[in-house]
Amino acid sequence: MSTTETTDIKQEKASFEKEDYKYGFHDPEKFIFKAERGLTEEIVRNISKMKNEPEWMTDFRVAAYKIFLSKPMPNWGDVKGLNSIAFDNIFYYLKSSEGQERSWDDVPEDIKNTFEKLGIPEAEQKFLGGVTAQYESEVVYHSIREDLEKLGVIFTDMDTALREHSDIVKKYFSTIIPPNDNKFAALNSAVWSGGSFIYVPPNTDVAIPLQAYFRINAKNMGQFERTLIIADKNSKVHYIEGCTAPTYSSDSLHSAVVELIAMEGATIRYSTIQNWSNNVYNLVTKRAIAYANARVEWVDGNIGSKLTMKYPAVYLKGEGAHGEILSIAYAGKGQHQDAGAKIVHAAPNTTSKILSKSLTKGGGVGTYRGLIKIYKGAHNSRSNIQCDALMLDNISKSNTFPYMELEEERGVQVHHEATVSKVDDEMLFYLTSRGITEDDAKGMVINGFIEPFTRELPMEYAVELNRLIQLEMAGAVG
Amino acid sequence: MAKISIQKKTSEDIFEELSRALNMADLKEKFPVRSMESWRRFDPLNLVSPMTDAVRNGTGFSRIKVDDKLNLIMHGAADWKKHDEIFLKKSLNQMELFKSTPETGFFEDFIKKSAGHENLQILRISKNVETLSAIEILPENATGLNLGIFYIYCEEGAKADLNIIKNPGQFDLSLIYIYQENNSSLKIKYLDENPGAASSGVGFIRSIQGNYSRLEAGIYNTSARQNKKLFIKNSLNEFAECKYNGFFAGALSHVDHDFYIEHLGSFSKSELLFKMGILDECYGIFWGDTKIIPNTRGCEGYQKNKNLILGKNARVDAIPRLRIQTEHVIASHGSATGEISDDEIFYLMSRGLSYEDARKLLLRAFFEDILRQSFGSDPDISNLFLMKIWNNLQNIIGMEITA
Repeated sequence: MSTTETTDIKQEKASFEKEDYKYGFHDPEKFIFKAERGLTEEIVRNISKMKNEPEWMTDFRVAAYKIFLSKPMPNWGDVKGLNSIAFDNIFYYLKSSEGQERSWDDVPEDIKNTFEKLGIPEAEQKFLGGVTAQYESEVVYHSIREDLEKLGVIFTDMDTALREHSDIVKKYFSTIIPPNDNKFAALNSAVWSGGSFIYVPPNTDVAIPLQAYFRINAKNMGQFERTLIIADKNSKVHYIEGCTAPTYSSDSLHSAVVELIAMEGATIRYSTIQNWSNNVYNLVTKRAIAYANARVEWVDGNIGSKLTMKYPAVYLKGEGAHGEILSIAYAGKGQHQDAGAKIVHAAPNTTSKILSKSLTKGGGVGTYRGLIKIYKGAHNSRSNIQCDALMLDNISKSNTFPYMELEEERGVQVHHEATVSKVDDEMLFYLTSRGITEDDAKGMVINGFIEPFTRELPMEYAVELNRLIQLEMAGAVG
Repeated sequence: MAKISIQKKTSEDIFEELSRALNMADLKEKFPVRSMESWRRFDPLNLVSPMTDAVRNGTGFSRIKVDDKLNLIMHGAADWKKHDEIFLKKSLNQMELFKSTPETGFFEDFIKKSAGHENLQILRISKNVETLSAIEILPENATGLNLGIFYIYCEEGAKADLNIIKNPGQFDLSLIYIYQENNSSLKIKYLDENPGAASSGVGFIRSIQGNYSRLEAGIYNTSARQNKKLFIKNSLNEFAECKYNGFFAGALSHVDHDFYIEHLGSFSKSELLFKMGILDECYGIFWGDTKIIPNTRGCEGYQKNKNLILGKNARVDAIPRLRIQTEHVIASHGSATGEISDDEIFYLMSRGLSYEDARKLLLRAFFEDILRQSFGSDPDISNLFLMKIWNNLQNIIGMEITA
């Protein structure tokens, strides 16, 4: 790390310390429609009506709402945090501008400002496949590069997909995560709004990553996006999602549902970096199904939020399928990152790999909670799990709860390894003896620790993540 | 001999019968439920029916006997009252330190209440006493209900080596408390054997270790047919060290092993190595939990778990957990589950062994690794305790012992 870069980081850190949260600005709220706080069947029906949805979707939402009411709150994880969520104090639907904006010029000025502050340059769309920028509950800006359209790739928001590609949506929607999966999946199913829809036709390789940005802007506003990605036979797609939210004093809830379907021989990579401000409850259900010889990779970075409970899952349903989950979690003051991974081997010769890294500081709690399940008949299945935790002070907590359930005897191999440690004194000594200051040396060790994760990210995200980690580490590393 | 009821009754009927048998009206409210994390893999309702039968037909606590050697004194609580009331009071006071948790509380409280003073046996290992050879502790009778508390009180500077053989009988509800004062050192080998008949139960081994104390425990379970939940909990104070190694070999059993190690003092160290060989229709569960509390320094916690799945309907769950709440630590765990390696079989077969022999040899090596750590690399063939383990293993796995 060069000296100038260090000085830059230090200056940034200083400004970071002054402000509460770097991205903690917010625009004045401007809404066309704002539902009342709380949730009733009428609100659910209204949401569906506002969106001009087909009848089956309205029925689906109402049924999901009933499931939401009947499902108990999970009795594990951060039970206290979960029970403190005031469901009646949340706006379940907002629409900040009418209709869908087609070109960048038409996007309202204040919304553009927000994106600029976030550093999403207009030029980015030229380099990247398409930007679906979700601002509050409705997608306001959306562009797809022409060559993607030529390939037959559908990349749109869920609401448009429901209108324009209802046959595909109806066929796959909620087949991976049904509303009765858990309380938050039911909530999302009842009030979902926005999110991405991707369909990649057979034998198509989408070379450039597809991206979407999500924003929460209004007080007490839950964001319930619903993402569905279908990669048809032998196709390949990489989807990137990044989140950042302004700071508010009262709590926000983010409860998304993400469903991925990888058909025979397809590859899906889903990368996320979430940096919700430290008052957001991030309770997300993410699940993928991989058919024969398919490959699904979740790359998952959790930096912000008050409480994250997120366990990306891969169900390996076809012979030779492969699932991979790479995750990193940073838990600072007042944060609880309860993240993990779940892989279900339900077919022979399937393989999986989990790599989880967590950093805790300032009394934060980092938890890895994972499940490997090998069903009877899934012979020759192999799985390798590694979770490492780095603790940066003596008031933080780090938990590892791996579950391994095996019902098959033939050729099954499951390995799990985990370590918890602090920054190694010997490493620091080695680096400082070569003239590097202790702070820089610590920074290098931390960057080295998360390197297996950052190298899997596209360049600009890797740089952003390193910067974010260093900003978050202010105090520990300088 | 009482038989375990296999009749299908509704849980309501069973509860009612048990409430009557135990004379506890509020039994159902207090009884643990499956939604509790510890009981998710072992339904506590499995225990109600055998418990009812055992209470109805039981012959009471199976007393244990010990050779009266050296300065080890073993008495029931009533005898202690005559013999040394001050010690009895002191040890009962210390026993209060073993607090029960909501998940295990029902059974612990039940054992304490039902066993009373009559079925409380206290082994006192006096200050600075050192045993020269291992002390055998054997069950006296083991039919019917096996209920009681065995309390090992190891005084300051004492060093002892104990071999405990436990025949659980039909239904086993037992508590082993180990209290170690500062600087004491204890080697315990615990064999839960069940040569023939089916048995079920809940067992507890709980220990509190004083500063600079050391515990080496071997936990061996060679029950062919068993339906059991075993809770092992250890609390470590400053510079205390504990080392657990053990195995479970089962064919038709369902055994849930809970190891919970709690580091309360700085520079304490724990090592846990547990292997499971799961055959036929066995369901083996390893649950390891290492907790290091805040404001401690230099604690080390290691967990290692290896499992072999050898049966078509065998099932293994491995849950090695770590809960670390301070930074100055070294904590790690590793878990590996698989079948016997084809490469190893091939290597041995290419040297002239039959498939069956090669498999048996590798199985033997899998378990012997554990035994060598407890009994040394050149174990005494005349060691009865070791022979008993080998015989049980042989019965389960069909392994031959050759010199």
